[in-house]
Amino acid sequence: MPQEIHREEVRRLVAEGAQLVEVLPSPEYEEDHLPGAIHLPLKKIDSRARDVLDRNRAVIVYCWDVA
Amino acid sequence: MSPRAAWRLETLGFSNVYDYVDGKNDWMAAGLPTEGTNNLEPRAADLARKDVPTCGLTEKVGDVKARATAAGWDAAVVINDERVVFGLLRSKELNSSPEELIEKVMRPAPSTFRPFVSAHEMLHFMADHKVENAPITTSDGRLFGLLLQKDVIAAMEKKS
Amino acid sequence: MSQSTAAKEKCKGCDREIDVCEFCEQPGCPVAICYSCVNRELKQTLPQPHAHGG
Repeated sequence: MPQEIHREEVRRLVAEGAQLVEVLPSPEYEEDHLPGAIHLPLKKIDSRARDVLDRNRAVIVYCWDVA
Repeated sequence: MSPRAAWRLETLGFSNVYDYVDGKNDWMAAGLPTEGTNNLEPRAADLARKDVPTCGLTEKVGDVKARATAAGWDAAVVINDERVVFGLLRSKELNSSPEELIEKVMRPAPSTFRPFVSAHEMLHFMADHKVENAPITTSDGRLFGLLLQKDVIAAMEKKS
Repeated sequence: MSQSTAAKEKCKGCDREIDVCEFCEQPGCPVAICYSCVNRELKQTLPQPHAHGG
């Protein structure tokens, strides 16, 4: 079950080497994304996740907010 | 979107998946930096004055005005010990009776704006509404700084 | 004047009645705007409706 985390844990995990992934579509990603975040839109996860992400490292996903 | 992404990644063999549920909005509302094309234009956070005078509810107007004036300001923000914004004092309020308490004369619960909003957009609003300054706060209500219309104008002129 | 009989403003964005302009809080503001509209115009929220997937 994916673990829900907040901002400080994001910073800690990224510092420890986690992959940060924005799942919003373009142009939302191009306009603003968290530093170092990879762009993997939700619609592309099925086809691209295994190519783009390292399964041996933690992955943090985010979108706009809880809405 | 992120919950669906997180769960789907688990089915694709990713065993260490986290969901930053509060998302990009939370990150930006906390005044944290981002990358992207929106950074080509200044934001409120880039121009807001962090050295705006602050004061507490129970201080006297005269004392706050003296302190603000000495620092070259005609505005001050009313905060608590946690820097949560309670009110705003512009020149009209600072020119109230010196013996009055801040709590009585301040503009309570002023409209505040996030660090990531476009400075250019703020300028349009400030000009249309004839407002000289606007408090910038993070999503927890804490003071980030005071955005001055004249600073945004100067930044736009410098750029052009 | 009680709040119920105080003159209401109209939001220039959505035309809804509001008590006071949510940007400048000045009574009689000629460009009064409501909370939702000012947040949307300043992009402090995503415009509604928007696809978020749930």
